[in-house]
Amino acid sequence: MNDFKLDNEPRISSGFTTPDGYFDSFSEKVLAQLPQQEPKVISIFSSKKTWYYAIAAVLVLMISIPLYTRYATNNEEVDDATLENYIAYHSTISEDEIVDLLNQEDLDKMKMELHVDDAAIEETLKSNSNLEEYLID
Amino acid sequence: MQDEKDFIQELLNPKTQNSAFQKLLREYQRPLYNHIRNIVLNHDDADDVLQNTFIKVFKYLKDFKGDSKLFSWMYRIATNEAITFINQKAKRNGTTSEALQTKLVDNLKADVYFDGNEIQFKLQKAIAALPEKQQLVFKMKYYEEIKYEDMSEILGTSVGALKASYHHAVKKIEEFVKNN
Repeated sequence: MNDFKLDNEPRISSGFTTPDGYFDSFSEKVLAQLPQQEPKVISIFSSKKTWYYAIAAVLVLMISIPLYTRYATNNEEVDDATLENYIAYHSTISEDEIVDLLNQEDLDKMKMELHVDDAAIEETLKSNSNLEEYLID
Repeated sequence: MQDEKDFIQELLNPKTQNSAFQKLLREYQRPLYNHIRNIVLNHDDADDVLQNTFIKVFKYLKDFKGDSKLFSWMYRIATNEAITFINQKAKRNGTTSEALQTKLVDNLKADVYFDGNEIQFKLQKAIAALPEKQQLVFKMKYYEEIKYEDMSEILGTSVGALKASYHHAVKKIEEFVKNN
């Protein structure tokens, strides 16, 4: 054994054997264990579900758009004082022109709105010390 | 074997899958069995590992990218399965995989599925004394006659490193046989 060289020896096999017919039955044994491929089932429910989501999304949009518009408009509303100032300083319409635009009915209405009872007038006149001067004028 | 891409398609198509897989089994069951048996040494263990290997091949075939040959990919799975099996068995027995290898070789004498003569048995003992990587390279080269290029693809090691491993293994085996 002193000159043992693997290359000089005839090839040494592993010496392993298998039971008779092992490979004949092996395939079947493995095939029986394979997970069966299930046919692909397209679930009606899940596709319906998608539609439900789509419809819900459309409904939400339908409700939210008018709501948004409403609140957006509210936000743009300006208070009366600002509006009055705007008209007073930016309007090119003169007071005379506004007066021309008012008809008799409008004037009566304004009169009515400005109606003050006699007692109040009398009280005001009494308390006004310059009244006589006005009368003289 | 026909064009590998077509064959893989057959394996993935549910209609042709069964017959294609039978073909794959016929083609590879013996070489893969030998490969696994050389690592785990015992027939029953080799049978278990071989079944697991084919089941994994079937399971992961859809993920096979075709970067390597189907042959190398399957050998890689078989090698990993066999080595994992040995390591787990050693852990269960509370021993190292090297000690387990020595014990398994000693058991071969009583194994009905080992009919090796004295020199075959001695060679098995000499291999069991090698480091794990050298064992693997020697078995694949000497017993299974796998080309270095294919081995390189299976083990992910360069051809040069494999040749060096084999050379070291041969030297150690010759030394072992001389002294025993």
